[in-house]
Amino acid sequence: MIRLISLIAILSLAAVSGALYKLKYKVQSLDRESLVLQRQILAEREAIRLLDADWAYLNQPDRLQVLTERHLTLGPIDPRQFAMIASIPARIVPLADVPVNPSAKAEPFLPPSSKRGVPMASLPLAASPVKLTVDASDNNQVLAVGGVE
Amino acid sequence: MAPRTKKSAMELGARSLRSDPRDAAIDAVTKHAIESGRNRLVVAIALFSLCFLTLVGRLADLSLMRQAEEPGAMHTTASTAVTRADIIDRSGQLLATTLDTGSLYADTREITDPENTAAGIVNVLSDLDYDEVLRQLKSGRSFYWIKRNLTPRQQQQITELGVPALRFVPEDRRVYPQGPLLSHVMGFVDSDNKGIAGIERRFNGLLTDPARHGRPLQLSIDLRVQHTLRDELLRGINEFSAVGGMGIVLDARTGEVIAMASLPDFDPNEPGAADPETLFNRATLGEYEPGSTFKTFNTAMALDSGTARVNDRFDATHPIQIGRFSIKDHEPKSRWLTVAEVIAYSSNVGSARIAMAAGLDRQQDYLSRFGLLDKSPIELPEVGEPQYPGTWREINLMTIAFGHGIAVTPIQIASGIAATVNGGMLMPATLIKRDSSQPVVGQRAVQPETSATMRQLLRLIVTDGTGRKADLAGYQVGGKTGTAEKVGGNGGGYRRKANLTSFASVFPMSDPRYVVLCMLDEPKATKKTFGWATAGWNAVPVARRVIERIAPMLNVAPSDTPDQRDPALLVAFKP
Repeated sequence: MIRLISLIAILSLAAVSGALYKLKYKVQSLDRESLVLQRQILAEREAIRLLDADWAYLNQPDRLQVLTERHLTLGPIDPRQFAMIASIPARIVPLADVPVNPSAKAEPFLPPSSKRGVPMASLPLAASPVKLTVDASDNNQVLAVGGVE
Repeated sequence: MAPRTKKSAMELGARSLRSDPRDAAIDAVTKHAIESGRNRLVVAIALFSLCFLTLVGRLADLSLMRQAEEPGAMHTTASTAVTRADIIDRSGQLLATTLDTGSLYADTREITDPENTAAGIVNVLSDLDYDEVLRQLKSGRSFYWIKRNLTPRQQQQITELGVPALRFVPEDRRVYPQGPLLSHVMGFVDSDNKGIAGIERRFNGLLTDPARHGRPLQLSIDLRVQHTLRDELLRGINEFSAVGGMGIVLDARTGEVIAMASLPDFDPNEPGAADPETLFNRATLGEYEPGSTFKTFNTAMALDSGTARVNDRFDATHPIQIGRFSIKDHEPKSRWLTVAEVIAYSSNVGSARIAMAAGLDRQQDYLSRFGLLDKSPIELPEVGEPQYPGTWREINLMTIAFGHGIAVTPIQIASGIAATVNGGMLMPATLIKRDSSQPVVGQRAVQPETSATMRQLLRLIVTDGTGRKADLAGYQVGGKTGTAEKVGGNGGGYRRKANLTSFASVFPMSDPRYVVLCMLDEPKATKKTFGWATAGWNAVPVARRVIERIAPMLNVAPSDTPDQRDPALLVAFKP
């Protein structure tokens, strides 16, 4: 009995000291690694600070204004260029009695690749024409209704 | 005796068990001895086990439980890298930061190949002169500063030259990426990175407080508005050949300073190179006779205290003669004027009469309510004390009514104007962004009804009075002009040709959001102004251009609703 206990004790002692030895060296190497990473983080942080300063420097409003004046045709916004959403004329709505082409529904949808050479406009999706009402009183209104023909 | 008995008893017990009563007694003694021996052993074992278990427990705790915890010492190295916190604007744009730099020096005795070394250095630091560097490297001195504050990239490149005689001294450098844009607000630091002017000085303790872990300080300044203000002021100064200018954009509701510029200014990155005169902050340290802008406060006082109503008339037919002084109007109407007309036409005589009707005590009370008799609470070390007469006499009462014989700082004027239009609350001016969830504590200056009337009067000045050039479609600008002759020259008195023109404007007048105060120092008349050098011709157009550009940035949408005008005001004002 005593022998067995001693044996177990000696064995576990050997195992534990072996593990401890390994652990110690692992910790040491991790420690070194952590130190390297810490230094790296510090360097990266410093680099970020530098880049932030650089970014702020390059974005000086004074500099941007000079560049804008040189390369763009934009100017300050005139008060008359503002409009409220409510003052925009009502949206163009499709007529309720649009005749739906039954053949368009029956035709199965095919991906464009299977109909190579066929223009998009003639695909079934665009084949059913949508009638639109236009407020004729406003001549300036630009209509963007494409893809029917 | 006892050992013998014990021994014989053990021998007896070992041989055989007998039911002899004498033997039983001996057995009991033996048993007892064995028992106590065992007990003692158990106690010892338990004690040792406990000790070992404690050790095992501690070991398990250290190795298994507390994982991934870094040693404390490394934390400090990581956080002490930042020695002075950044300063940012209200939207987080960087205004000031601290960079780790290295300063390059050489021990020239150790240089073996000066030509190649100098060529390498000049290759990296292109602003240095090759011949000069070469001459210094050949000098044989043990210490020669080649260049201060190199960026890490430049340091790396110099190190790659592989010359051991080139060494670095690590240094922290305060950098202001916006250059001169915020010079007077930011201030600057000395060579030890200690703030010695502006925000840098006022918040030196906070910026270097380790407990804040380098958390940046956020100002109320909006960089875009600041740039616009400075840009337009510069344009105005050039156009009218002024010697300087000043501008403030103030949030009328919270007292936050959105922009503040004083020209001429300097580059805080190189404060040593700046002309000492440019260091002067006109917006907070400069004390000026405000001139006609003060009539706003005079009118507000009369309306709020009830000593005059909008359509009460005051005699402005003749100049007032008091002692050796005479109070005259710039463009005399030579008739009785209503209160509305007095402010719209900027009548000195009328203003003096309004003040006389109110009296000395009321004037002092109201000027103090508008914060014009106390130093502005703004967070800068460079703040001027207002100057006013020690003994307030009738002549002072009359001249102060139209802004003469008193000197205040522009930031006080801006705060006071905000209080007249925002519903009557004087908000302490601040450069630090306010927490929008916290209500701002202000002091009541005038009643809300007085403020409503003042809004209409100030709007009237822009639609029909001296500020017509600021009438921007949609933004409902209101404001009061001021032209004051500069004091000084030889032997005191006023200098006729040297004006200080200002325009205190507010927009939009229907619900005032921002106060824009522009001031030009000694603007000259031009062909375009038909020979005039008064505020309406120079400070007003500058303010107009500022408002036109900043309103979209500040989310103020133009509206095409016509001005709300009190019928009483229309009666009171006949152009």
